[in-house]
Amino acid sequence: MSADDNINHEARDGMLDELLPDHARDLLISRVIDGRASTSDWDRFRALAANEPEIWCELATTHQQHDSVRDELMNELSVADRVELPGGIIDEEGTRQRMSFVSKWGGWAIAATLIVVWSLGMPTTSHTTQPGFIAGIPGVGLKDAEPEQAFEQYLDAGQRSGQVVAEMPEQVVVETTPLPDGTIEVLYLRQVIERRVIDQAYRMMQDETGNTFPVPVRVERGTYGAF
Amino acid sequence: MTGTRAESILGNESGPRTPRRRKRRKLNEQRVNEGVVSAAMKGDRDALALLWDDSRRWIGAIVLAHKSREADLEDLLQQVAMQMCRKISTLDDPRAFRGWIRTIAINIARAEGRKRTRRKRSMLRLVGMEPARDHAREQADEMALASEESRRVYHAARSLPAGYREPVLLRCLQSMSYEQIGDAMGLPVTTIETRIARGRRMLREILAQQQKQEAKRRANTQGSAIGGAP
Repeated sequence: MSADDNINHEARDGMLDELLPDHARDLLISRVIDGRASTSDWDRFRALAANEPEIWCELATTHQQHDSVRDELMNELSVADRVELPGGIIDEEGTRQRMSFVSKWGGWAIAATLIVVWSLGMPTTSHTTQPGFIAGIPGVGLKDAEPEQAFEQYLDAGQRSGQVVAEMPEQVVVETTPLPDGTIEVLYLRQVIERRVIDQAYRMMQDETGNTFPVPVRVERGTYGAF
Repeated sequence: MTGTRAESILGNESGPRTPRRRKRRKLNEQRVNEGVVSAAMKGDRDALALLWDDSRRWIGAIVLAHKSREADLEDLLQQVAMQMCRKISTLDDPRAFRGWIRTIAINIARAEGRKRTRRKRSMLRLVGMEPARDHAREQADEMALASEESRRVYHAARSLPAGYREPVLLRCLQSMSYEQIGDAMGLPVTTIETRIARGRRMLREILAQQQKQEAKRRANTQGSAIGGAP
């Protein structure tokens, strides 16, 4: 019987007496598996087994199933060790600045519930405005390209280098404005998914008042897969 | 069953008991735990971290017992951790901690999990990333899992009715006694014991039923193959 067990012995025995045979049997098996069987439980179990030897089989099967569930559960719960309490170690000025950048531009991305902030810093806008560079991909000559061509070149070059995964098929309309000449001006987002290898990721959480704050994600070496 | 297997199970029987010492140790543990919860309630970060370290696995088991299949356990646990940090000071009694955090875990598992994961997945699905990633992850998971049989048993346990599933899973954590499970679920120890025992019987019956169906299906397949042979 475990040290934490607090059930009164008489009450436990009385409980068995009051139960239907099947339930008493289940309880006995359960107590044996959990190491909670008292001497009188064992006496009952042996007496029962003398008449119905198949109870040994039930005990073995149940014990084996318990072990299987335990092993799988422990395996699945291993992710719990990666979950840290928020706050404390993430209170760095740099992180805050990066997060304010994200909060300005990351409206649509927040919908994905997970924002990755790379600890090397966000890409600066100067990169994108330099001739010959698009979103940090060097070597793409765009001086004379039309915007659409330039964009296609960026996607192609990015996909070749592995930095661009794809463009999202849906474009998000931000604003529509009727113009005096009868046409309509449409402002919309074109979303491109990029891939980057980073040192540190942060999971964005929201408190009950809606404030967003970053929580570092601990990634163990050798693990693979999306967060 | 072999004699060796039976003896090994019988070996669980404990030796002479000392109820007084056991009770004293239990009281000590209770005081320590309550002390940690009290300190955490007052804003002691070390106590909070200790409490989280001590609790996250069984809280994870509760989340697993109530979350949808698609929901991500890590995401949900992160939300529970955040709620615990933010609201532990509102707890009235340190002894109520387990029940309190369980309620938070269940609410988060039920309300948040499904919609968040759906959103995340749908974003990835649009660009055709999800199948490849998931496949790779599944393969890695498969390698880590002990066996197909264990998985089958575990999935069957996850399919038990919630009232039975939760105590059966919690009992698989070595650190959770019946009393602690009862404490968390707000139920008497005798009820917990009955639920675990019945839950295990249900599991046995579900798996036996599955085996029967599988055997029947195989027999049919073989029969039709023989019948269909020229």
